[in-house]
Amino acid sequence: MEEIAVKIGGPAGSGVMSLGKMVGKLFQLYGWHIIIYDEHPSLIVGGHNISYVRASTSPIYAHRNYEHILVALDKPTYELHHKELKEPALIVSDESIASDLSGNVVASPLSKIANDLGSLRYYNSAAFGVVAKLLGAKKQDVKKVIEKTFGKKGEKVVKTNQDAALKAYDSIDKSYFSLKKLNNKFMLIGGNDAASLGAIKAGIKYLGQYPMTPASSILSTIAKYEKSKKIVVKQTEDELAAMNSIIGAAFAGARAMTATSGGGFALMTEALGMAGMAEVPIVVIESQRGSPSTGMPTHTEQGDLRFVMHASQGEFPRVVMAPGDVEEAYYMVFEAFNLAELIQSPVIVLMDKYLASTIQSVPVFKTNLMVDRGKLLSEEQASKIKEYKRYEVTEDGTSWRALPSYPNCMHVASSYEHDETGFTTEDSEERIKQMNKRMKKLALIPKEVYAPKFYGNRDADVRLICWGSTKLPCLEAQQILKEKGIDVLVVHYPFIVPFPYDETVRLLSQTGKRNIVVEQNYLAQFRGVIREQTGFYVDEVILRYDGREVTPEEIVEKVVNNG
Amino acid sequence: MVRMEDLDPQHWIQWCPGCGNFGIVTAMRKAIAESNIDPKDVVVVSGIGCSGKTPHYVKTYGFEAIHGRAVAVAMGIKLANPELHVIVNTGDGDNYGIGLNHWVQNMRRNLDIVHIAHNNHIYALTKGQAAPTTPFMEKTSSTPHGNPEMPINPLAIAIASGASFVARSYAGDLQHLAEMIKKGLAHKGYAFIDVLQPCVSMYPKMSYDYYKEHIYYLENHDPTDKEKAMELAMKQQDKIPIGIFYQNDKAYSIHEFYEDIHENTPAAKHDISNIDIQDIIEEYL
Ligand SMILES: Cc1ncc(C[n+]2csc(CCOP(=O)(O)OP(=O)(O)O)c2C)c(N)n1
Repeated sequence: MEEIAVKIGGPAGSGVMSLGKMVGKLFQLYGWHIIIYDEHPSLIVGGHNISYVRASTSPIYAHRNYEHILVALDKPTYELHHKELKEPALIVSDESIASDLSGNVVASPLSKIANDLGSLRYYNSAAFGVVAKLLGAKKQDVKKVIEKTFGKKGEKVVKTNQDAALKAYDSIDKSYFSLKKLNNKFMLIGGNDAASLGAIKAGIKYLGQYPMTPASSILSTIAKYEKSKKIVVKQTEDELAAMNSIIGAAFAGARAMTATSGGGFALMTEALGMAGMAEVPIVVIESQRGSPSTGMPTHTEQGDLRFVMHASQGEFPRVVMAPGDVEEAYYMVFEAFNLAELIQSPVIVLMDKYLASTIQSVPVFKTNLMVDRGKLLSEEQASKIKEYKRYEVTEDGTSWRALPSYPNCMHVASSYEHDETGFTTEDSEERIKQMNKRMKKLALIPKEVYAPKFYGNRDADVRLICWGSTKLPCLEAQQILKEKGIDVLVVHYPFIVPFPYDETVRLLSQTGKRNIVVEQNYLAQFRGVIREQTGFYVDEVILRYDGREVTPEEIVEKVVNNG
Repeated sequence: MVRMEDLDPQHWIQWCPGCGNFGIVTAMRKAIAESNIDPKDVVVVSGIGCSGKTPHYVKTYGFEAIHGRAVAVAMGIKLANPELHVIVNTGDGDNYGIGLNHWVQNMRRNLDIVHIAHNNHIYALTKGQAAPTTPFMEKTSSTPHGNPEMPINPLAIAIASGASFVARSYAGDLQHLAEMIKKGLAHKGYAFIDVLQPCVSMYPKMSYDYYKEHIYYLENHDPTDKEKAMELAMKQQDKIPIGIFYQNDKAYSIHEFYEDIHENTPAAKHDISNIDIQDIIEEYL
C-alpha cells in the first residue's frame, strides 16, 4: 500500500478547506482512496483552519497523526505541525516566509504569481500547483481539477486559476512522488451531502429546517435542488416550526424531513411525540456536536444517544439509526424514509460533526433503490372504501393512511389519545388498544435491517464495539493492529433502536474475548444500552469527549497496552 | 352543491352549554358550504385548548396539533399541498402566547390560510388563568391580585406583520362571522380573523350581553388603506369595531415562490418511485 497525507493550514477565510478539496479531487482523478478531514487543533486560538487529506492505493478509513506534505499558508501552521511530518517531510510555503522555516522547505513565489494575475485570490490555486508537482501529477490533471472546481464561475475564472496553478507548478523542479493511476471510479463526498442525496433519492418533498451547526449544510445542499427536483425547502422561524411543519407536510402526503443538532432537537421533542401519537411518518437527522447546551458547536461528540432514544413524553415507537460512514449516510437516510412509512412513526438518523464534515471517496451511489410507502392508500383505493378508520386496530399495528382530498376518508389526526376513527378518547379499553397497536409497529422492521455489522475475523480475540462515526477510526485501528500482528473484530451498530438483541447476546456470551466499546461521550452511553438490553457489561471502554474524534492511534495504544 | 349538513359533526360536542365556540364552528360550516368547497378538500387545524376540539366538530379532514403549533402544522400542510383549503382554529392563549412566533412569521409569509382565533380573553381549558388578551389588573385564577400585564393587540400585530386580510368578528353573530370566514376563504393570502368569544364558564364577565352593548359594525371604513386600518386597530375606544380592518388582494404570497414545484400536481402527491439524481451524482465524480 502506498499512501500520501497532505496537511494544509492557514488563517480562517484563507480557503484552507477548498484547497484541501482540490488536493482531494486530484487524488480522485487518479482513483485513490481518500479521506478529507477538517481538524481543530486544541492548542490554537480561534480563527485557524486545518484541512487534512489522506490518500492511499488501498482502502483507508480515518485521519492519522502524520503527514508527508505540510502546506503552511502561515507560520503558526508550520510551528504547530512540522513535527508530525514523515519522509520526505515537505513544507510548502510562500517564498516570503520560507527563510523562517527549517527542514525540507519547498518555497514558491505564490503571492507574486497570484498578484501578477491580478489578485491574491489565485494564491490557493498556485499552492495547489506546487502540491500537484510534488505529487508528480500531470499538468492536464491539474487543469482538470481547476476546471471542476471553478467551472461554474465561467471560463475566465477557470483559465486564470489554471495559469496560477501551472506557473507555480513550473516554479518547482522536482517531484517526490509519482501518482499511480488506479482503476477506481469514486465519488468524493462528505457526510452531510451524502445524507442530503439519500433524502432526495428517497423523494423528499418537504424539508423544514432551522440552521444549526453541524446540520446546516443539509439545508443549503437540498435547497440547491429545490427547483430541479421539485422539493419545498423551507427555512423555518425555529425548530418548533421545522418539526411541526414537517408533520403537517407528511400528513398531507409529502415525504418530509428536518435536520438539526441537539439544541434544535430539544425544541422539537414535544412535536416528535405528536408524530408518534398521530402516526405521521417523518425523518429527523440529529447531528451531534459538543454539548450540553450551546457546547462546542464545531466539534464532534456522541452525547445525544440517550436523548434521542427517549426524547418526548411517554412511549411510542421510533427508530434510531446512526450511519457509520459517508456511504452509509446515503443509503441509511434513503432507508429512513421507507422505515418511517413502514411504521408510520418518527425515524431519527443520528449523525455527528465528524461524519457530517468528513469527506470520503466512495463507490458511486446506487440509484436503483426501492421506494416503499407502506400502507399508503392511493386515491383510487380510497374512493372504494366504505367505512374508513385511520387508526384501525390491525394484526401488525399499522393502518392505512389516506391523504386530505381523498374522498370517503375524512378523519382527524390528533395529538390526543384517540379511538380508531381519530376521535379523542380517555376510555381505558380504547387506550390499551391504541397503545398496543402503536407499540407493535417496531416489530415490523426485519431483523436483518438492524443487525450489527462485523468487520474482520469473527474469531478474533479482541472486539472493538462501536456505533455511528466511531466506525471509521475503529476500522483504521484494525488495519494498524493487523500490521502489528493483532487480530481485531470491529462490530458496528448502524441501528440502536430497534436493538439487535440476538446477535449481541451471541457475541458477548462467548468467553475469553476482550470487548471494548469505543464511543464519543463521558458516560459510555452505548455500553449502558447494551447492558440494559442484554444484561452484559462490557468492562473496557475507550471514550473521548473533548470534541475531537478518537484517533486510530489512541485505539491501537489502548488495545496493545491494556491487553 | 355542498350543504351545511354535509359538514355536520360525527360526535357529541363537549363544549359547555352556551360556549361561544358553538357559534364559531357553525359559522365555519356555513361558510364552507356557502363557498361550495368540497369538505374533502378542507383541513381544519387546531392547537390545544377548548378551541382545539374544533376539527372534530366539522366533517372535513383535520389535525388537532399540540398547544401553540397549529399554524406551523398548517404551514407544512399548505406548502406541501396548496390545493387544500386550510382553516386554522386557535385559542387566544394558544396563538398570542405560546404560538405567537408562528403566527407572526406566517403572516409575514402571507401563507394562504384562514385563521380563526377564538378570543375568550382567558385560558379556559386549564381553568381560568390569565391569557395575553386578559385585561390589565383583571383577577383570574393565576392572578388573584390582578393581572399586571397589558393585553396584546392582535389586529395591530396582524396588520403590521403582513397578513393581507385582517378582520374581527363575534361568535354571537353567526351571519357576520360566516361572512368574514367566507371572505377569508375567497382571499388569497393570510386571512386572519380575531373572533370575540364569550366564555360562560371561565370568564363570564365578557358575556353575550356585554358584547351586545359594546360591539359596533364597521361602516365607511376603507379596508384597502393600511394606515387607516392600523389607526383603527390602535384606537382606544369603549366600543369594539367588528368587520374587515384590512385587505390587500395584491400582496405577495410565499406560494408564488413554489408555484413551479406544484405545477402539475401538488408536491405531496408527486410520484417519487424513481427520482433521478444522476445529475447530482455527476457533481461528485
Ligand atoms: C406545552 C403545553 N403547555 C401547557 C399546556 C396546557 N394548556 C392546555 S390549553 C392551555 C391554554 C388554553 O388557552 P387558550 O389557548 O386561550 O384556549 P381556550 O381553552 O381558552 O380555548 C394550556 C396552558 C399544554 N397542553 N401544552
